[in-house]
This record gives sequence, structure tokens and C-alpha cells, in this order.
Amino acid sequence: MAEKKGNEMVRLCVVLFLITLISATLLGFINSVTAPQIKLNKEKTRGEAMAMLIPDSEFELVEEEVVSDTGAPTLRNVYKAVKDGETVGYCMEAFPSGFGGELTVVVGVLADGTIAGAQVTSMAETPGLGAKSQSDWINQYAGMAADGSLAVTKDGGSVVPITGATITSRAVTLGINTAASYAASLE
Amino acid sequence: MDFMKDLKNGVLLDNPVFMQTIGLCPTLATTTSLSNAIGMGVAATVILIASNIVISALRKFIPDKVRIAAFITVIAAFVTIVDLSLQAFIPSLAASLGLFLPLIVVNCIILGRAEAYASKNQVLPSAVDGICMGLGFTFALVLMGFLRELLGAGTIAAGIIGTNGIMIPGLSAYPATIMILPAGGFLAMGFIFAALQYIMSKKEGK
Repeated sequence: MAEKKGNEMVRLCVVLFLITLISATLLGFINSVTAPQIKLNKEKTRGEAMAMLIPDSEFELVEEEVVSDTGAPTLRNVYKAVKDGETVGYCMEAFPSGFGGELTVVVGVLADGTIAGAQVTSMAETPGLGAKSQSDWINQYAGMAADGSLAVTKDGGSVVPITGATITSRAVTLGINTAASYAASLE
Repeated sequence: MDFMKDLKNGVLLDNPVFMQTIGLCPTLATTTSLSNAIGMGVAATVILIASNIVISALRKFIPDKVRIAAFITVIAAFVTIVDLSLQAFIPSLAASLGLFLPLIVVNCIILGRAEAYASKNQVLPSAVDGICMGLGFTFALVLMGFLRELLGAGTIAAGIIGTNGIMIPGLSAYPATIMILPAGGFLAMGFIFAALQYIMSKKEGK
């Protein structure tokens, strides 16, 4: 009886082990196929956003990742925009926390100290409210001061927030401020 | 085997959402627009068919005591495959489904069909069951998504027919935004449940 029970345990373990082994192998294979394509997609989205913010320039990678020790959003993929041999500005991705998790905001900062513009390339905000951060709403940032002082009207600033999505609007503004401050420190 | 009867069962008489009332969480969460609803429905259907086939094929090999763990492993594997493939090849859909795609793992329709049907039946009927239940789920999502998008955003099929879809004059300027918020999901579901119950009771009365 005891022996039989032991056998059953072994059988349970072996069966479950085989199922997980086959699943894991399959997933490893799928991952190796899709990972390069996923990376390419992300780079493409970022590249398109950067080309729109600071057109007709070439981008040189300056810094891969800037982690703040004061709790400001992380910056990644900081690029220098070069036109005819001159630095015209910087583009980077900021990752502020919105209402539904982290947003990816591609921010363009011009060398003259103004914001070239910004684009939210990925987010999980509420459709119809925070998701409007991907609409024309974001165009208002273009031309604003890139000194890290932007704030929504509720906080005494000049950024008009999305109706019903103050948290998202604050997050985007924070992302742009962080990027602008960092760009200013580079010049 | 009568495919049409199974189909009618899955979509109407035994609809997983409206009649069995399972899988409500993804139903409420992803039906903010028609395009999201279709995406979620199709993804869940593909996973349901695949997991039903594999679990049915393995049903004699999987010991009863560890069956739930084995089912979840198989389902999770398929979900991850679909998730990675969507991210690689249809990134826009993956972005709009977001977190809900990996959460198909714990969608009780899929585990429910594995436990109630695929683990007790042969491969072919299990595949048919997967198709029918999946279509039933998709039908429920599409109905909800269509209604909520129409009332909550004033558009029809945004993201499918052009980026803005068909704008309903008047409604798209002043939409009832609450319908695409979580509360609107419960409202839409309540009214659809009530309407279906009314229709069913009329039929039975005859």
C-alpha cells in the first residue's frame, strides 16, 4: 500500500513535469521567434514619434537609461537630434505613472529651450478619458518652456488637462518636465 | 454530432456570458469598443479551441489529482503564445487589449470548458465545443462592445472603419461617457440580461 502510494506520487510529479517541460520549451521557441520582431516594433514606434517631433534630423543615442534617485520617472533612449552638423534638440522616452499604470511618453526638447512636442506611444488609461492623451490634446505642449516648470491649470500652471483625467494629464506633464530638465542638464 | 445544434447552444441557449454567467470580468473590462470586443473574442476563441484540443488529447494521460494544475499550464502556454504573436505581428491590437490578454489565463470560460467538457470528451467534439463556446463569448462581447461604444463614444466600429468609425451626429459630440467607464459595463450587461430573459420567457410562454 505504502509502495503504491509512493508510485502514484512519482507518477503525478512526472506527468506534471513533462507537461511543464514541453510548455516551457515551446514558449522558449516562440519567444526566440517573436522577441526580435517585438523589439523592432517598439523601435519603429519610437522612431516615428521622434521623426515627427523633430523632423529632418539624424538621431544619435546619448544615454540608454537615466534612473532618478528622487522618484522622478525613468528616462530611456535619450537621443541627440542633429541637423547639418548642429545639435537642434533631444528626444527621449519618459515613463511616468498614470491612472492605469506606466505611460510611455516620447518627448522632444529643442535646443532653444522650448518643447518640440510629445507623444504617448503606449498606455493603459481609461478609454474616452485618459486615453485622450493620445489625441490632439498633447499638441498644446509644443512651444512651452522646457525648464521643468510645467503644470496643469489645477496646480497653477498653464497646461489645460483632459476633462476627467487630471491624473493622466499630470503624469504626461511630469514626464515632459523630467525629460526637459534632463535635456537642459545635457546642454 | 450536430454542429448547428452545438452552435445554437453555444451562442444562444447556453451562451457562456448571458446564460452561464461566467467570464464576466473580461466581458466588462474589454467591451469599451467594438474593435476591442472582437479582438478579445477572437483571441479567447483561438485559445479555447487550442486548449480544448490539447486537454482532450491528454485527458487519459493527466492524473485526476493534478488536472487543474495541468490544465492551467496548457492554457497559460497558449495564452503566452497568442500574446507574444500579437505583440510581434499586430502590435496595435496588443496595445489596446493590454493587460486583459495575459488575463485570459484565468478566464473561467476556458478552464470551465476544459474541466466540464474537454477532459471528458474526444478531440473532435472538444474542438467543436471550443468553437461554439468561443463564438458565444465573442457574440456577447460584440453585443456589449457595440452598445457601449455607440452610447459612450457616439461612434460605430471606431478603429475598424477608419480611425474614427461612423460618427453618429449629435451623439458623438455629447456622448454618455459613463457607458465606456466600468459602471457602464454593468449597466449595459444588466439591460442585455433583462432583455434576453424577457425574450426567453416569452418564448417559453408560447
